[in-house]
Amino acid sequence: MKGMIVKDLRILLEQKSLMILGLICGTICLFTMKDPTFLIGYVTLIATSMGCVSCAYDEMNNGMAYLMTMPCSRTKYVIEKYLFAVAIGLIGWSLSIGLSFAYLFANHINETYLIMGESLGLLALVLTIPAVMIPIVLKFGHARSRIMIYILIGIIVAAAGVMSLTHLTSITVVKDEIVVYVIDYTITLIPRTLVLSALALAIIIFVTSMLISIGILKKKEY
Amino acid sequence: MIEIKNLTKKYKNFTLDNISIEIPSGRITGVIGANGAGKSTTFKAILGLVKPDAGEIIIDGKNVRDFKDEDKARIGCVMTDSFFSDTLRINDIAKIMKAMFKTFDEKFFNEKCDAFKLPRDKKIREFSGGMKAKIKAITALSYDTNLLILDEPTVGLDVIAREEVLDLIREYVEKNEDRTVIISSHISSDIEKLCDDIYMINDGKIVFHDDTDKLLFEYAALKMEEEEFDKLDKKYIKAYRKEKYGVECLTNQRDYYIENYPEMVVEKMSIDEMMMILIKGEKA
Repeated sequence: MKGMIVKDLRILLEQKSLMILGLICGTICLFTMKDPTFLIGYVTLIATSMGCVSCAYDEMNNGMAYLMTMPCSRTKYVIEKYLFAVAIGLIGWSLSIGLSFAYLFANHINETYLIMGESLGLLALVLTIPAVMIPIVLKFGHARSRIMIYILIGIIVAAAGVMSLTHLTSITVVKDEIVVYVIDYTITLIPRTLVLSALALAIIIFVTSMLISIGILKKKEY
Repeated sequence: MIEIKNLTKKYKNFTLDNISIEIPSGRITGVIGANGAGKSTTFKAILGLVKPDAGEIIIDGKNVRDFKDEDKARIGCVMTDSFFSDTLRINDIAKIMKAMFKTFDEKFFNEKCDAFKLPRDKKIREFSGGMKAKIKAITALSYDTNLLILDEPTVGLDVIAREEVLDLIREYVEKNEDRTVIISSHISSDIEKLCDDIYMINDGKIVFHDDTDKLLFEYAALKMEEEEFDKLDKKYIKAYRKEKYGVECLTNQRDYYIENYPEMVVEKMSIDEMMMILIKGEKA
């Protein structure tokens, strides 16, 4: 697995100019929008997506066949991909939190507690992005995976649209509480519960996705 | 030792049909055949990249299906159309290999890259076909293995570079006499010079297997008129082909026909010519 990590790091380093560009854009947005949450979300999203990108690079030029001859089992290969993406996402997340706190202190803004809560919620992104991207790239390959991701976004938006039209579900914010109506049930979530629920759900999606990806790769032939 | 027993793999338009190959340790075995004959599928099955529909592959007493990481670490390979991402550089590959294989010989790797004049800080994407073939071969030979699987390792190389790569393979075998090599190539002279024995695959089936020395010294082409062919003792005729001038036969007992048919034209045959008559000709 160590060899695969080194390989992914080397591939990632090839994208360093893109990473720096993303960080600069996020920082500019922080000063123009004056919203640290946007910076944290944006940088975390870019970093986690960058962490997943090695999967597509492995697929390119039929490289997977050669990689599968290396002393790294298919299960370990998949686990490494997920952990690598999460690690890079966490680095981006930590870096953006550091920048946000520096901005808040420099401007004497005392919103540390609020930012911390929101950024913890954004950690769900770090788990959800690889959970969505990796199995799609492994199943459909580099080229078709992009189309599949667009289709998946379409399915989610369409499903949400249909559900809102049926009035079976709705989400409203009342004061600091989020009220979710599902058919005849009403769930009231305070922000802390919402963050914890989002993280718990993201962990379940992450582990399920990893197991699906292991199944996909074990069945694949090259 | 590699034992391939009744290997079958079915695809929509092609079937690798009941292939059996046995390669004792310490031998260099060549696999020849036309494009799409089944050479790469056989190699991929040995490497565990495709799952056989029937049959099994045993390497040093262990089924490939049950291979662990440490077993895979003892196999080196060159694949025609697959390698590390071409966005990487040789310096990156050295670091990856060092992390991947405990036995990776960085000194050997760097020395060979320098000897082959491969730039270490240039992306593989910018390499010529020949340079890519060289780095693939050097990478496969730069860690300690028992078995080397080489699918077209000399493709795209000029005569001198080809000889250099073949020398690397010879060097690899000389270091440890138990090392086994299985190699495919379209360049029959490479196979002739390097291999102890040769398998020929055609349309998913093994059509021929013999020692290289026997091929070179006992096999021959017999050329004759059709009337002479009708009267010919066909006991040692492997295949024949009717041409405009008469009939050309492939025999594995040259001396028998020289002694018994002194008037007959008996000519040496290259492996390519043997391949042609075995594929295009008819069995006697």
